[in-house]
Amino acid sequence: MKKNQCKENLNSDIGSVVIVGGGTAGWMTAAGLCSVLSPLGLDITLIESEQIGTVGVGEATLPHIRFFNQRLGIDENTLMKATKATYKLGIEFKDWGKLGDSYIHPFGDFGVPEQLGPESLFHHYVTRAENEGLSLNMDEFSLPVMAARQGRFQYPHPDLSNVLSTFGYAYQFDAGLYARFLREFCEKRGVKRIEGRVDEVSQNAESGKIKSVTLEDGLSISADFFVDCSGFRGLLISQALKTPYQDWTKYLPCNRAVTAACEAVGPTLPYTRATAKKAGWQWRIPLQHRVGNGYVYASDFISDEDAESSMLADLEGPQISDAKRLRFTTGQRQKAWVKNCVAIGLSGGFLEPLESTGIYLIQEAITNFIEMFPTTSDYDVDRDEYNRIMDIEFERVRDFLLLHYVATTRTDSPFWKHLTSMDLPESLAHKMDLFKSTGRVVTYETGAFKKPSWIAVYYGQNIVPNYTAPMHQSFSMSDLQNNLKKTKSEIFDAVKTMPSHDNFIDQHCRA
Amino acid sequence: MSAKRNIYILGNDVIGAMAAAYFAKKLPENSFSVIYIEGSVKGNAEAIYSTTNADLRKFMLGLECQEAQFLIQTDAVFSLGDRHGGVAKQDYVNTYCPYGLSLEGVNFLSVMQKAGMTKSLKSWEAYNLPASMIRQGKFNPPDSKGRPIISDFSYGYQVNVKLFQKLLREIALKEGARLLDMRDVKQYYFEEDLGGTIEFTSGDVIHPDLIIDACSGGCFPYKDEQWLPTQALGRIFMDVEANQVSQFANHVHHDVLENVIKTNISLQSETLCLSINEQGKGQAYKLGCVQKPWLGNVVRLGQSYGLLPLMGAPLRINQIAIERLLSLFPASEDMESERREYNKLMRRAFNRFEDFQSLWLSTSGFKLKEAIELSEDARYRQRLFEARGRLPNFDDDLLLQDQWQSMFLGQGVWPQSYNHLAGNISDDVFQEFSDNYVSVVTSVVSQMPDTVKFIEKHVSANVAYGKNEKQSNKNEKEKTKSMTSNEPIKSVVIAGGGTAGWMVAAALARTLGDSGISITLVESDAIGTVGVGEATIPNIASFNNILGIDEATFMKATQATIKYGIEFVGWTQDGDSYFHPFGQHGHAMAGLSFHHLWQKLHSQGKADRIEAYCATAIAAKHGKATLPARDPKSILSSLSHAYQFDAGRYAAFLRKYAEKLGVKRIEGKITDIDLGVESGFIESLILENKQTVKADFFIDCTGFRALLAEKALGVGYQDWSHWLPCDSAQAVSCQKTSDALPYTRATARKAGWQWRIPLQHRTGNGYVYASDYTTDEEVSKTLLGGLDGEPIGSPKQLRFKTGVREKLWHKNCVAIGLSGGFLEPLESTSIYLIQAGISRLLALFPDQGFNEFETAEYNKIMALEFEQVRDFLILHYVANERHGEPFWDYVRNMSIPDGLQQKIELFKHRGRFFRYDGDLFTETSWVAVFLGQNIRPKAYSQLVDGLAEPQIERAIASIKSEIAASVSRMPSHEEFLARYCPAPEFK
Repeated sequence: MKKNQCKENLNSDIGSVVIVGGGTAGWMTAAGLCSVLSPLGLDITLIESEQIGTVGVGEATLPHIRFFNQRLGIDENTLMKATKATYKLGIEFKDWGKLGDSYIHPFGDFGVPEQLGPESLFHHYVTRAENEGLSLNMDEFSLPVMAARQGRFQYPHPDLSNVLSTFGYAYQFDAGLYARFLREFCEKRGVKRIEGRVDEVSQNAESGKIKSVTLEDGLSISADFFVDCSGFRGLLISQALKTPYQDWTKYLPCNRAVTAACEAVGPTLPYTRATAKKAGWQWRIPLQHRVGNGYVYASDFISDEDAESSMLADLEGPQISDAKRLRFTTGQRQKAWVKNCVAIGLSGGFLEPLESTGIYLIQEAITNFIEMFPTTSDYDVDRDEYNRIMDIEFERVRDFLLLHYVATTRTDSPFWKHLTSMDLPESLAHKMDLFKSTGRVVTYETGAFKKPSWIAVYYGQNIVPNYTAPMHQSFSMSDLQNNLKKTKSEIFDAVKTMPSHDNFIDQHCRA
Repeated sequence: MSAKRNIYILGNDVIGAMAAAYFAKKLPENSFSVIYIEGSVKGNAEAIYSTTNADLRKFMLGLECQEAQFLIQTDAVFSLGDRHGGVAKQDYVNTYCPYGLSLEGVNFLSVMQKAGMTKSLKSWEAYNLPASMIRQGKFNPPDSKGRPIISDFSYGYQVNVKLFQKLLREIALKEGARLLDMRDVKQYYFEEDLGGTIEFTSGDVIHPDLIIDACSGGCFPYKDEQWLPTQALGRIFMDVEANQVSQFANHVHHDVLENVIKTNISLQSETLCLSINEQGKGQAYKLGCVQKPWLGNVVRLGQSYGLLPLMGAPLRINQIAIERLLSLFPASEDMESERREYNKLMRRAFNRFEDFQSLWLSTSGFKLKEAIELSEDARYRQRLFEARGRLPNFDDDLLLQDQWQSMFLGQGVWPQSYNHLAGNISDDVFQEFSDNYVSVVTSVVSQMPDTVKFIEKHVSANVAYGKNEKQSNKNEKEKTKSMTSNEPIKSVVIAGGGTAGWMVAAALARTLGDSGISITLVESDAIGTVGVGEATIPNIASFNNILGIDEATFMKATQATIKYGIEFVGWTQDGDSYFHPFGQHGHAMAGLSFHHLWQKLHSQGKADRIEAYCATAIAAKHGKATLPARDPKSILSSLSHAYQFDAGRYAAFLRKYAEKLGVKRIEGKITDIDLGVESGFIESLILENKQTVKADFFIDCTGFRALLAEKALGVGYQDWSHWLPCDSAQAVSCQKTSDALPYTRATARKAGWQWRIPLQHRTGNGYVYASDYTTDEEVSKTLLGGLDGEPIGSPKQLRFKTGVREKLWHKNCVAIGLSGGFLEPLESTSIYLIQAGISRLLALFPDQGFNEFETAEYNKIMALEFEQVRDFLILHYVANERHGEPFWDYVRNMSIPDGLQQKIELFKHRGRFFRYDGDLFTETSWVAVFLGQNIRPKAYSQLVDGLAEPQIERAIASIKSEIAASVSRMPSHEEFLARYCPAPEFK
């Protein structure tokens, strides 16, 4: 009865979905699907085993997460309380361009509102100034960077002509708590949770489609469609459907991480920090109650033990959790959607969390999957569009991450020597060439990082175009300096009015 | 500081001027020299570059050229999109605007499909604001506050390319570009790596830092293998035979105000594009583009680069090219990165347009579509759209997603299924949204001004700017002219009373009366007016409304009767008759006009004559009359009426009205007219009694004599008598012998036709004839013999020449009424044309500077009015079946204006009719006359087959019975008049 009704409403041959695996990806998928498709009668089941742990350290996000939660109708303060979250204005990169450097990649643009817009010229001013020999501190030209540096936060101003509107924000939260929060959300909306390990996957002999999964206790669960959120193992997409994995280690050699939480020292910072180290980099993600840390490294260049002790040595406060070791292979599933299975989360691909894209890529996968959700038994066209978009997303994030490693003069370890001598993918080489010679950022429709982000990293890592746009050559140096000075003081004055990050958390979402 | 870098721009059409203006403006003068080498215009760039999209506005603002200035100087009109008629099964518009809004994050298309919307695009257009604007000829710019619906569209222009080129050239020079003549160049040298070198006749040889070659064909000796013909269009038109070319040309009509350049695009042979301008002259273009537009130091633009028709692509691609070139402007001699990026971006942009065109063709109704090969991207797009109504988000696409969607929908590519998420939107939510959306669109559009009016207002409000520019820049002549000033007009003299004169006086007094202007009307009682009964069309009500005249009062004062339309008797053959009603036939179903549905059933013998489905016609036939019902559900809400009244009394009525508002009347005959010696403007009228009447501004309402316009100012007259050969009329009133009919009758006669206009107190009659085919005596005999009551007096003889004055407004004189032009009263348009002249005059009311653009605009719009009425009148004659009568044989066989021919052919083919902007007569009117004159579609619209036949039969039958029932309850015409507006007894 229910199934018939569902088919009618959904206008679909797909009446049931099984999600294999809990964790952040699994529960985000369940939440996304149930909020939109359950009302249409879709049956959603999630299978997870409590014996299989999740990574569960602090996790940083991109501003897109807010829209995901908004779509689910989740109140921000409630969520932040539940996940002990803090606000995030950007990421500080230490020691990347060269040892001793520090810059912040903010969720916002450089310059003040009248200099912004699609034709934003601000970076041309800066280029010109640098080429004329002025040494600028880019931090001073971005409101979110200045606010981050001073540990301040407030919501962006709704009036777009106000300089206090020139940023976005994300969260730093406990991903394990987020998954738990979403599990409650889902179960309230009828998602069935089954405890157990998947032991066997049975497929239709002819079509190769997955028919059902059987648990260790012999329970067999069939469905019309399956979502593989089983993590690196790729239980369905890899083990059953044999979909190959595209290994990108030749570009991004880090393949391990070691993590630990420590107590916070000093005020809570509204940003994440990524410090480049001898064989990788270390994150620092401040939550309300602790600080998450992790050293992402390449096992070819450092031993696990050395990495762990290096990570622990860099903790700012007393360690409060055991060090955990993780292994991964950077890359992407060749096709994330194959037959009646889509792989979301680590099973679909992995890119190190240097720019906090883990949850972003899950979210894009879910959003696109919901959009392309198959409504007929012939869904090749939906699948192709899904795979096309996700390929673009992954490749563009990959290029952006790689930029951090190659735009550097560091040669102080074999790791960095290796990176600075490698052949770049053509797509990135083109972007960098163009920027160096013309100051132009390659623009595109789909992808997490747009022009302001590319500019932040280029300048932050000392890539300044050897070029002045012809239309700016007529500016006199004094005009230019006045303009920059004005921008600086407008930002400086506005930042002073913002409350401290801790105060703001107290007022809105202290756990 | 190094020496200045030099950039040479070679051009012979608008693209070269565009590049010159842009680079002169954007590149700082202290580091760059911009040299513009101009050649004489080759070919006809008008048609291909006339359509722009919204981005051109930004481009012009970047040149510090404000919109009003741009509109004035380029003669531009707004373009809300492209209209594609005859391309697919339906006539559709492609606007820069989505259908509806996404609802709860779900694409509107899916929401609509889920709600069971039909495939009929007409019903969809209710969800697209600019489409409704285009259909109704309205315009207002988008709301700037980012509000839903009213802010969600944009617009471009249709420009006069030659004027646009001139404007850009002026900007280029103002911004410091140096101008050279192409005749000063001796030779162009080109090597692929090095680029171009120019040798001048002076002996100088230069190798510029950068060259933009925007000359059609290209200046330099490039190698031919660089050229890539367009994949789709180029190949497909190999098969077009010569006779199909012109047919095709008429199929793609961009939505342009008439008399602005029409862009008709068609193809001639493999890589040729043929554009046909208004005069029917053709021009061939090569379609496709060069693979690498930037080689060495030379960047090819315009027709040197390539060409693709459709969707404003020619101008758009070049604008983007110019802007990209600036953002990639080479910083040094090594320009490899810039070159590579530029060539790559341009290639992709061009490919996207090509995809659009190949999909446009492959989904069209043209047979040629079979041969189209779609690119992989194009195939992907179509596949995705067909499956779920989605569009891929490709990079570097200059076309909006909305444009792709409109194209697919318009050409009948419908998604097989909708986005399942639409299932989350309940019918109630959808219904509320939909009702709200449609009502917003309807009310917003109804409050918008007509496009023409908007432009008049917009331009005239800003005209001071254009004029100042002019004065300071050039034209010493104007300085010496005493008339040139911004001072308001202080005095107007109307020469001549009669209907036209007093209508003008009343309207001016009503609208300008409080401004301190003095209005004087000079007329002589000694000069009679025609003063027989006169019939009108419904538009007169709006004139009376402007004056604030109550309908019943007006009808009483003028002995008026209700007029529901015109009965045409004997226009095909003796014994035939048909009715042209003012109210519509039936009503549309599923977006299809009634006559399409009717056509299908009628062809199977299952429907009555079309008049049987028109409440207005049936009421007329039964001699009934009442005011239209206010309840839109009642069939009687479709009633629409005009009046038949005594024009002499109307003039008297208006005279009283005008005099009350301060119009001064001077009795006297005009004997002489004084012109200013230098300006040639009219300074004063001299009357018989030697009185001098001076004014700033004169209106010539002196009738056929055109004392001011023709006698004094010598403005010529365009003779249309080869199309409408009647040149005489005799008119006489007769006693009323029966109840007044609520309609006018026009009966075909041997050498013309006879009118019968029933008033409350008597009946007006007249015989309009061609004197070449009969004699006055014969006419008088026929006329008097055909009266239905005793004649009142003897017939009045009238002579006229059908046509229109070359310029209705010349210097400081406007001709309104018969002095401006004459069209026989077959469709009762005389008073309408006076009214149109007045409303345009008010909209463009001059100051003492008499801005030439205002005058030109007036003349353009009024000429269009006259032509449209003319074409409609000709239609009545040309389709007659009165074989053997010399007059009728002549008019049946004469050649007719192209526009009319096109309308007839279109209707003959499948009953299609499109009302153009500014068309006075509605679809109902044209259909009534087409069918009445036995011009019948060969086949009914295929879209009708989309509706179940029993459903149509039921609907049509119910319309008929509802009409019968409603009309039977109406009072008779006489009863209605007696109750509503009884005129005093006539003695």
